[in-house]
Amino acid sequence: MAALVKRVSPGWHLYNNWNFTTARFIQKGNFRRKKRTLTSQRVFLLATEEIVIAPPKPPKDISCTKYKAASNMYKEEVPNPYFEFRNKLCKEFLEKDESFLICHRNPVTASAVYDYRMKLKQKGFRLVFGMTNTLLRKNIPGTKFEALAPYLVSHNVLITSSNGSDFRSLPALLRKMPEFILLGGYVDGILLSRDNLMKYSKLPDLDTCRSETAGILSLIAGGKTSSLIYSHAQTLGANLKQYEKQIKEESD
Amino acid sequence: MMSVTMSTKVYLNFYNTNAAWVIKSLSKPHSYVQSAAYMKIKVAPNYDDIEIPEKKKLRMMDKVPPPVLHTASNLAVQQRSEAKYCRGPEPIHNKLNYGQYGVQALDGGYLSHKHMDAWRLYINSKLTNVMFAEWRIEPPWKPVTKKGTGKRMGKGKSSISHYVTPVKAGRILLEVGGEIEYKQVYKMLRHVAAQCPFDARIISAEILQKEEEQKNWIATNNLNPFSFRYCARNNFLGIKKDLSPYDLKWSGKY
Repeated sequence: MAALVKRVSPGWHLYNNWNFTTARFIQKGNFRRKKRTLTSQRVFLLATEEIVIAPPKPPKDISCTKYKAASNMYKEEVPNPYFEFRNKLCKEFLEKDESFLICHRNPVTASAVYDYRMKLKQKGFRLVFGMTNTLLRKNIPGTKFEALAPYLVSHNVLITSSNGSDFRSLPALLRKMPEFILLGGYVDGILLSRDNLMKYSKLPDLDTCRSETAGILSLIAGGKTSSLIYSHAQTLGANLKQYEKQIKEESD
Repeated sequence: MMSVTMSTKVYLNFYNTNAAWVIKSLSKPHSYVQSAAYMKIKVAPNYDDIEIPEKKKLRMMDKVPPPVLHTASNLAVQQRSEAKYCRGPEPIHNKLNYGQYGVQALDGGYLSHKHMDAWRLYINSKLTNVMFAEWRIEPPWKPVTKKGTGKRMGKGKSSISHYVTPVKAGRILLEVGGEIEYKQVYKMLRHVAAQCPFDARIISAEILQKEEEQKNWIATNNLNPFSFRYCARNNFLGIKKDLSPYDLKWSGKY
């Protein structure tokens, strides 16, 4: 009988009392396998389960700095001497007050990066990979560079000048480097966006601007009027008559 | 047909050479950037607080315990196969003495001399001068009887075949310590945990501490007024019919 029952339902001995069902030539039950609980037991366990409200996790759809600040609330920062050393270097870099530009870096091969680095070096510029966004974002608040925070989000590259060279020639250079996309920067004490940088690059040289201002100032000081006044009487009379005609025409 | 087989053989031979690997690697897009940077050296952990005992290796366990009853015949006495030694949680030996790493049993069961000898040989071969290991279980003392093959039921209790140590859930079987980290310990002790006849896991002091904190936090912040213990003892939903006396004692966890 027991053998028949075993063939019909293999797990029958789990729901019946094992003491009354032991017999010879029957397969020993697997006591390591947990028994399936009855519905009444499952209902009871669900009803007596512990209900706990877990602490809220930081939301993901806020900006990078706020997310990191919120997530750091749940983590204790362990002091890392290597990170502190790099932090010090970043502070020194910002205190130097050198002009630099920020470019977004798309995936690029190492050989291409070497070529770009050489081209920039020939013009007197320097590529900087070591200043990461985390370091800059930590040291920027409270300084004049605070407005550069939106640019320090993705993979970035800084371009500085080693000889104090002019940044106006950079947009033309960067056209040959499609993987580096200009975002903005800090040039001659002013924070500039991409559009302002392009306008800045189209401005003439300092010498030409100086010469223009000198010419304008000399005109204001009376350079032309004096030359007109001290000219010959005939020419002066003719000029004055012409001037009178112009005024009449304008008033009409 | 011969030409096809030859070409496939040549193709396969070429595909496994170094030249093919170089060509394959060049065709892949390298999206990394080489840049001069500082080497990121991790700070080495401090092991000044650790005291290494004199006997670093696991000692050999006796197969047969020394006789307890000093009788004239000095024979070992059979015992009943009592499940009480494996049932319930372990109240005493559930913490780490040296506060580093160990193997903890999650269920109850029996451990034999075969288990202990295999673990002893393996762990002693992996230990270095700066590491140590210790047993946290007794040598086998509980006798297990076995009837010979083909024998019929009855005719009294059979003779002792071997000895075992009963283990309860939560008991620590082994402890390993020294100048070592969790990754190295895991490689050593995962074989021990896998060879146990019951569920076992590898623990460290941090894991135990976190679990205790979590348990205390849940106990203090539980919003459900209906606890298992209270409802079971007061026969809510007539549940005493479906519960065992051990569920009333251990709240359905063991």
